[in-house]
Amino acid sequence: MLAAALPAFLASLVEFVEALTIVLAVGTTRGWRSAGLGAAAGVALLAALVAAFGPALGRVPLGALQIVVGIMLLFFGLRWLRKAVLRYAGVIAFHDETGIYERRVAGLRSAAGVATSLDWIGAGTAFNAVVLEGLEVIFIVIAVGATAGALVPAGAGAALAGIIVVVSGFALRTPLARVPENALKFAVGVMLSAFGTFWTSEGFGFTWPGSDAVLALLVAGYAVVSAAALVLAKRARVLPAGARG
Amino acid sequence: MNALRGALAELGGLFVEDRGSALAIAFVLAVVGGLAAMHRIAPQYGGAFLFTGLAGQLLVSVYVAAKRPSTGSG
Repeated sequence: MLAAALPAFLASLVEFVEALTIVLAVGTTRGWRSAGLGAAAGVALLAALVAAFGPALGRVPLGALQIVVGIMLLFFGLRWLRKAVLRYAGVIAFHDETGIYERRVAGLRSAAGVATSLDWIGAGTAFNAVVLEGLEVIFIVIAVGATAGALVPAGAGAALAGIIVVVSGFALRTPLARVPENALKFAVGVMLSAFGTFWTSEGFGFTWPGSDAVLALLVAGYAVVSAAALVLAKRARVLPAGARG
Repeated sequence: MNALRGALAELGGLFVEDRGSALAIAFVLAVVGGLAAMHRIAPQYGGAFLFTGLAGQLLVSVYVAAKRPSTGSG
């Protein structure tokens, strides 16, 4: 039994941590309600899919899903990374731009009499990440459990990994709330860009040395490139006459 | 109609802040995805190719934004 439960636990732990990273990133920057609802909806969909299809889920075209989610994360992550770098460089103000944008959207909403408090993009991002990683966990359980003839222990190993990751996620909420906004957006931008690059390239059929372990290298790579972009922006920035010393 | 405009503005603003950089990201994805579809790129180098293109896009996008006269709000 342990022969099926342990590999399923370890492999699932990696996938759950990846999903948690995205959910925490969405929660800290777009709101916990949206992240929680998106994640819960993702879990509900996965549960319904497992109940309806069982082991037949192993035939889901994961590549197409990876491309869609990966591209969404790239647009989302690179946008934030660019903005955080420009803020650190002093090219744009720290809060004005967001305020202007939010006032514009609020104006459009109030003009139409629409009141939406849920951040659908944040919820959608958390939902997509949970569904994508959850499907990978299901594939792991099917692969490990089917070859060893032990679907139940493999499923239990994956479930234990999920519980550990969810508990860790709740514990990390409070410390993350104390990180300054721009630092958080910078870090989230780096992580989402790394995940987006990883998933998109996997969807394209590319292979990485070390598989999921390359995510750490991608995170480091985007951090280094962003630091270089910051230096570049500081040297190149054009200041309005008399605006800054 | 205004509700739709509001929703589209929100959606667009969340993913596309600067049209030039969004087009550059789309261009990199189209080129790398196209090469992958035509099997013109070795699978073991594809990821590095994609990362390089996106990192280059980020550097150019930040540089171009920094060279524009600042308005203080971006």
